[in-house]
Amino acid sequence: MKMLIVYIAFLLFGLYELFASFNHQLFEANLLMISNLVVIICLIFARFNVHKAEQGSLMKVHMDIEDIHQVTLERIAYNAATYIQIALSLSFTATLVGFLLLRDTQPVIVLWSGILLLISFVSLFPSEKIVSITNPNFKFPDPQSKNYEQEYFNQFDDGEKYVMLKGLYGLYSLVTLCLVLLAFALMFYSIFTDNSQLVSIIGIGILLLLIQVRYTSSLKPSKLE
Amino acid sequence: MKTRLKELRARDGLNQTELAKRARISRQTVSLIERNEYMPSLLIAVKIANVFQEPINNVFIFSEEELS
Repeated sequence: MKMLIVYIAFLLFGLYELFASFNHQLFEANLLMISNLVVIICLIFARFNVHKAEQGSLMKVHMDIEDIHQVTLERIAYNAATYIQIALSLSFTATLVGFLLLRDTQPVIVLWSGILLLISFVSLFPSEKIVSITNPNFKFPDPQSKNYEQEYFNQFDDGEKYVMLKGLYGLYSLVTLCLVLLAFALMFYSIFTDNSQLVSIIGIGILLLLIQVRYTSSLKPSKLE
Repeated sequence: MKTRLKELRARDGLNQTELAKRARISRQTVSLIERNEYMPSLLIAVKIANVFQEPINNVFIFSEEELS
């Protein structure tokens, strides 16, 4: 609850700053401030959902409606995770763009983006209460373990792995398609604006190569002994 | 494949959450199996059958076509 109040204070301060300096600063600076405010709103929604899920998990409900209650809590917890992911992606982009365009003129706004990126990243690590809602049998492996990733993955049962696999396969197809479309869009952008995006196109090409090779080699059967 | 999960849960007075706890699997997995969206692994099938103290083929029922 304390964090929620801190985020709301951040939002009010940000709104005040935006309206106070809207007409005196660059368009890019205003856009970046709006982006930072959206990140704070996402973090507020995430924190609010975490609080709601934690409170809900303390409630004693009748056995007949326990499943419905449990599904509701899981949905709230995953909503919180989605808001944090949005905040993380937005603040990451804002930090890079801000550093590129505003590091000399408006460094404070870029600093705010960086701080929000850090907060979003820290928020990614779920509280034990939330994990006990979404995955009651989950035990975090020893962080010093050499097989940490494998042990972490093994905590999920086959049904959960099946859901993850379906989601990841959809994601793989989506990312591949988006990268191809983006490369084409950048090619036309380069032609029509004389603003070369060659480095970006090569970067996308390397990424596509890595994704495809990694995925195909993971499907290759192991050698028979 | 048909499952008698709902029927057996009703018989033993278990909800999905309780069955998941007893079988040491996730509630999501129980829900997926009940909705016929996922065919459980042998390990999960055995765990669930053990909770109901029934043989696996009394809990998960395959049609003749599936087995031929």
